[in-house]
Amino acid sequence: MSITDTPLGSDVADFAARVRAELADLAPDQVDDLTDGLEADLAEAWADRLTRSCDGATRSDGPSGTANDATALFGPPAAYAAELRAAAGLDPRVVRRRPGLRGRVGALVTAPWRGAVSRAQRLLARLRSTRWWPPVEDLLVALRPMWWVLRGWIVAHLLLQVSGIERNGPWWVPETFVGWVVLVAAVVASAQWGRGWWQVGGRWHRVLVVLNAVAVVAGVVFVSWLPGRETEYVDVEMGPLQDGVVVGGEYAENLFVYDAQGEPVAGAQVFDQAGRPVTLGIDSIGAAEHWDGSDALQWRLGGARADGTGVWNAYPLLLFPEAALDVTQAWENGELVWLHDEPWVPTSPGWPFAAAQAVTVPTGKAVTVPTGTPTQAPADDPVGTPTDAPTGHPADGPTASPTGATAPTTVVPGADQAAEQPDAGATTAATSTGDDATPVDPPGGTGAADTLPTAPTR
Amino acid sequence: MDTTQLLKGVLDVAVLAVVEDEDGYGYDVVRRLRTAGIEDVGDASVYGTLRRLYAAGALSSYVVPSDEGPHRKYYGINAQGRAMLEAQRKEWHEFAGTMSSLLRTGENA
Repeated sequence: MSITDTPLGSDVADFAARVRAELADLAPDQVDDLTDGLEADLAEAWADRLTRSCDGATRSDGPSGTANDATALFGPPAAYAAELRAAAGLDPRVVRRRPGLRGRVGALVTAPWRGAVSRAQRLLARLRSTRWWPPVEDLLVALRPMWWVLRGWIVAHLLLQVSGIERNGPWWVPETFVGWVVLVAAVVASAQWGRGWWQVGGRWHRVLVVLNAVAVVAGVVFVSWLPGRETEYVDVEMGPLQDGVVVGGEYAENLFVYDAQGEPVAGAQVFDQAGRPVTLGIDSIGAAEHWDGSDALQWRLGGARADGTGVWNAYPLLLFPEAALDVTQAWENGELVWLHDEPWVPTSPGWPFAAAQAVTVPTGKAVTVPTGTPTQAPADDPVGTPTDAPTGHPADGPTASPTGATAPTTVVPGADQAAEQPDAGATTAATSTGDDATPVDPPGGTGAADTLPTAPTR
Repeated sequence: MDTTQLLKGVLDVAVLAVVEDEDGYGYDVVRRLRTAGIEDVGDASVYGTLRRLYAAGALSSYVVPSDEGPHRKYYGINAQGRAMLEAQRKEWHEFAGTMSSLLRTGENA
């Protein structure tokens, strides 16, 4: 007969656990010694009595009951435990005197705690009666020194946080010398207490037990807090972003547009997804207005509309000499009044490459591409990027100078044709809502309505 | 007469006698005592007695694991236990003889 033969094995385990709880005032090894094998005995006794009661031979003086409850069979766990310890020659359980008012209040306050301790002891007793728990307990005991160190760290943490010695929030290791001293002292104290070298009695023991519990809670808090610490100070002091195009962490000073075949496109107007003109912003100016090496005041513009308003989202931006504009009007009224008294031409920056690599749009099975791009199978290098473009001397490029270091090239031969330049290239934005506040006309597909000599956008 | 009270004084020797026949675990000893006619013995009293005799060095002990449930703790008598049993057996016989003759005398009186 084994415990598995009884359907009430868990009742047996529960009864055994309650008996062990009644023996909780004894040393753990005494309890183990006294109750080792108790489950097996109880289960067998139970099974035996069930058989006897079926035979109608129940003991007349034994605990009555229909044997569906361990207490009915074996009596109250307390009485069972008392009999056990008496027979074993151990003193009966110490019953404390009826406490005074203070004691009763104290008992009331500590009742939940004592209840928890009692439950924990019962749980431990049940665990110890299993086959898998003892090795686990061995492992936990072996790992105890780790807890001692962690506990010291937590206590040091609490002390240094509360005292304000370590000001920078939670830490893995202290940042100050005092912090290190406190940390080492706390770890040593924790370990010595854990090893039982520093025996304290009575009240101090209780204080340490409470401190231990606090350390457990604080440890959980700290450890869950720390990993998030690194990201706490991100996004501080970040004002609203300035307009501009950022490349490699710097504002681009100019943009150069190449078409799908890799050919340079001058005067390309660039808009964002909402139809807003993409400008390079104030932060892009820097040395940009002096790329031709001149100290003279120059105007950096993409071009102008028919009404003379400036366009700053047509690329590449060009430099216009002071003589091209009425400076007074520009400064005082913000209007661009073009002067045609003197011969002048805008200068263009050098293009980074004579030509970029051609770009194709890879597709799956041949379909008609609505953009009008010829459908073609992916080339060897379907996505050419400007940075991969040839760096040699682009002798046949539209501009003679590939880099800004050399002298700027005149791209417009006559002053009266200067206004054409901004519109010479393709418009890169396919659509535009046209609801922006800038004076730029919507580059609709039907062509600009203004009087600029614009070319069709396609 | 409350035999429970009488039993208290002789439970040690009774348990020793049972275990002398054959090693046994807690409930096994209880069952054998009952079979022998000592019906009123409490389970826990027997278990406690086994532990006490073991702690006193009169019994040896070993655990037999079980695949189907909790392990069992077996007890066996050792040399010291046998000596104790012999001494107590002798004491019992003397005491029982005395009591018997006393009670017989009382009956006759």
